Amino acid sequence: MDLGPLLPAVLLTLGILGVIVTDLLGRGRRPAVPVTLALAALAAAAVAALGIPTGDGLVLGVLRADAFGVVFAVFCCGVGFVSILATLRGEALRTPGGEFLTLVLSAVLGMVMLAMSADLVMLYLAFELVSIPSYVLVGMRRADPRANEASLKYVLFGAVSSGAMLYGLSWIVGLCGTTSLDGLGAALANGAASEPAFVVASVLVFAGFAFKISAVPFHFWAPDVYAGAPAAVAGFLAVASKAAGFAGLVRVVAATLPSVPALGDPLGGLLPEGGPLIRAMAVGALLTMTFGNLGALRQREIKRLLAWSSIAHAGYLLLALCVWSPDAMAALVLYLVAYLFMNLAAFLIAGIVIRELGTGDLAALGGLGRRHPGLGLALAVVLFSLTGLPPFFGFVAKYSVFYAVLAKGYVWLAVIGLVNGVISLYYYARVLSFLYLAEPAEERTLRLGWPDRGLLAALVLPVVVFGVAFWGDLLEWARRVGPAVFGGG
Amino acid sequence: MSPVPLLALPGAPSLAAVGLGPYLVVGAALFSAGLVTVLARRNAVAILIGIELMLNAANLNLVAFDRFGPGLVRGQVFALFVLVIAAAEAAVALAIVLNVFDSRDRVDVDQVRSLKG
Repeated sequence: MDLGPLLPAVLLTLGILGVIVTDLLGRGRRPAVPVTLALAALAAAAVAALGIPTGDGLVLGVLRADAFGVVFAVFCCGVGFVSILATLRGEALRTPGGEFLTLVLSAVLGMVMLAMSADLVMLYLAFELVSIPSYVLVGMRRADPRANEASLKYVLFGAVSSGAMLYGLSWIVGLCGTTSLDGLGAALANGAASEPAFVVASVLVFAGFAFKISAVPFHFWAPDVYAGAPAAVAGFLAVASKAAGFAGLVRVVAATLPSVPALGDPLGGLLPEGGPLIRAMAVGALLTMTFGNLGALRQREIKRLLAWSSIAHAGYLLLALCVWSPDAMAALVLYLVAYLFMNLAAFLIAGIVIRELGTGDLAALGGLGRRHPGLGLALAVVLFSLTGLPPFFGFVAKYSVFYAVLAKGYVWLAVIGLVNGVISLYYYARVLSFLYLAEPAEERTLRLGWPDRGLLAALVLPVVVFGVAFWGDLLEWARRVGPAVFGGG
Repeated sequence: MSPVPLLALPGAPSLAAVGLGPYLVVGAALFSAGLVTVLARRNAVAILIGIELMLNAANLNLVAFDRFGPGLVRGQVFALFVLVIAAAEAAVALAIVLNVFDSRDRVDVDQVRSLKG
């Protein structure tokens, strides 16, 4: 048995143990040691994941280390890495304690497992390993009543949705007589899908995933939770947790979709052909992007605005998912990479602004772009890229998603997606109007250290570079996941 | 393999004779009770109790399906994992509830409203 594919997980686990031990031994006097250790563990896990010999075989019967899993493992390690760095420069400007690092590493470990899972037990365990540390991370600032309320809301909604998901899973396991995703597909092909109970169970399971990726109608927690959490943690949840949810969703859909019978076409070609699952995802995608963008219109606080914007982006990602073609899968990965840089940069700026001004109100941003041209330019680039304007990475990502949608002939989906892009331009540009046009309520200069500038540049530069050049190479790289999901590789 | 009755009351049918159906009905009732508790109660601790009911409904399903199904023991192993997860989740949730209680002396979710979607 080859345990090589488990190396990232082993390294992350060693990192968790190392952080706990060094934190206890140092008694908080040398906080840099556990931080360095955690960053090293994440970097090592990412490198180890890249070195995994990808194949279609199972590891221990429950994990599948294919190109898809590797891409998401590297992705989540990267987000964890940036989030720890962003926390160092975030609201409180303090070195995070061992408990914070342990929780981030545990959540990343869960994400890696979720992206590689090939078994429902593994899937559920990984899902909870992402969720439970996230509940605590949101409430890290224990003295802040808003953080407390946010984490209470998150843990209650999260536990209810995962409980409902588990109940659905228990029916699916029972009806199919197996927990492996491969066996699930085979059982469904033999007619297990025709049971009415199976339909109810599937709805419950997908509700659990919808909560994780903050898709409508399970999105309402996101604005409150992101607003209450530290900006770096909000970025971590918005990017890594969402990406891991999508990875798990892809695993489940890939296992079940080929075996679920297609329906007729009662809606006259408005929605993609294919089974009820594809239809539900298409409707979910449209609702999610529309509600996300409309919700963002009335926001006055930057983290809350970014939360609604991240809901809208979940809609675009779902759109790529419901097309369900190798091209669309590559577009999904490309979009997630673009989303990583844009969103982490946006949340980093939010953290810096809240640290310096003590508030995230958009009105407080007045005139900031003129006093801090660098910060203003970075925020402008990020917001235009989030809108999907050229020549930024966000445009390339949106273009490849819509290209995949149109290639399958779903004109309506693409049109609604484009209309949504126009709506989003309004609220992103409104932030910029505060930044450059509004008069400041009080003249305040931000103290930006070189770590702020360096980290920001490292996140914003790729948004420009991949928007202008090299995105073809990145797309080629993203295409590697296609065969892993659709077979034939 | 024939199920052995754990509790043999005189005149009562054995566990095996009851069959799978009643277990699933009890599971569905537990799940519904949990869901109603979650939706109807405003106290955070009561909501957590409702969540526990939902998880245990799933456990009952898993074990019953496994007992009357192919008997691969996978369902029972799954149920064991769920027990551990439920404990971890309850510990974290109660810690958070305590934290909220410290800051405002009550844990009704209606009172937690300084954050609004």
